[in-house]
Amino acid sequence: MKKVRVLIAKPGLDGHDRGAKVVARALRDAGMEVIYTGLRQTPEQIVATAIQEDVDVIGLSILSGAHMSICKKLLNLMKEQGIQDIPVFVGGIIPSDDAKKLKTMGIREVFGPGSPLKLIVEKIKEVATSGRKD
Amino acid sequence: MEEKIRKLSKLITRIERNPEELEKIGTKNENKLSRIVGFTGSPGSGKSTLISAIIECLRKKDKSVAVLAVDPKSPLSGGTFFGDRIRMQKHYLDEKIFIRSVSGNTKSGISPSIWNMARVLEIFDFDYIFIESVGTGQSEIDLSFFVDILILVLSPGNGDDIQFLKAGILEVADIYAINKSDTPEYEKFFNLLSSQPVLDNRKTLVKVSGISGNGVADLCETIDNLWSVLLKNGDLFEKRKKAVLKQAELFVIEKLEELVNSKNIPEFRTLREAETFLKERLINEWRDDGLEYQKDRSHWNCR
Repeated sequence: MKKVRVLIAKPGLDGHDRGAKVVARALRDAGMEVIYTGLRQTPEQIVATAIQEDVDVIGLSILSGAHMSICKKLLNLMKEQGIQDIPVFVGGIIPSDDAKKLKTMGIREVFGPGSPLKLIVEKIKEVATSGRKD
Repeated sequence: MEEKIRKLSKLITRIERNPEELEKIGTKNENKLSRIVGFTGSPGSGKSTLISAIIECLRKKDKSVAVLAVDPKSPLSGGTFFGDRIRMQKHYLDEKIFIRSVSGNTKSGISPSIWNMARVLEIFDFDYIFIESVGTGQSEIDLSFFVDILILVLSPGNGDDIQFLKAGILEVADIYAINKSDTPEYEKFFNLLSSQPVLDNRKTLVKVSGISGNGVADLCETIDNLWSVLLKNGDLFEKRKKAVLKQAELFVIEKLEELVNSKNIPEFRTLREAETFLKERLINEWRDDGLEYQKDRSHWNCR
């Protein structure tokens, strides 16, 4: 079976990539193929990478507080480029009110501080393999 | 992003899983071949950074470049962490640059599908196709069979002169890129390699720094010159002829590895018994694969 391919992206200006790396490592250990973009990515860069790497899932790590505007821009761009079917997850410091708004906006799931890695892995696996035709 | 790139990306995914898919997309116009260049070297020697610098150089001449960046597949979980493209961030938005991360076998340093992926990229008319192996040691020479030119990236800290007398990867590389010329230990290292009779003197040594960009234009020129020679004397085609067979070998080896590592394998008393088991299982699996493929094809033809 095809491996689940996940893009772990770090948009915005904060340099706190520990969370992104810990999640990336956990997904690797769960048998997934994990592409890490590096720090300070623009939504345009993330979308271009997602297309070239043909990923099943996008995971964003945001700790700068700019999650609302970044996610909105990213989702719009994804629609423009025809890849809106790729589920997007967000992790980081996200107030619960915002998390709700993000989900209505189209973000699949929001993982705040203290989320168990096992839960993140399971959720991503479930979402990535459910809609798959092969 | 162009529709073409989206199509290419999906195609590569399909081909990685089903190598037969390549037959469906037609063949390449022989008059417009890509320069397929491999980069290998130990982890941290600067392969990805150097590739990024070379791309920058080639973009000034408006050349298009596709990169297949291979990182190792975990022998424990089967997962992969890809970190090569991070070094090529400058080019994320360039429409003439296509970067794809590929999960690779830790023994060969590449994926068995790498040749088919490169051929797809060639059909899509990239001027250059770069294949970066996993970080290698002395023995992962398989990439040399799938590229027109193999560049071995070396950097200070790679060892003393005795290391460079050893057989293996040093013999099959066409160009030695001595990287990190911006670091303090560099001159000593470069002199060690260039002044002692350790490296094959028929091969080209190029002083470069992926970080500063020094020497990168020379390296590009060396690649182009060597490629022209290979094209002219026909070596290029000889080399490419062998690639399909080599690819088949890698697929067989991978199948064998899967068999050996799979569950519920009986215990064997003799080597002969184990050999017979592997041979029979391999042939059976192949037959099933073939049937599956026929089914796929008939389905495809119906549409």
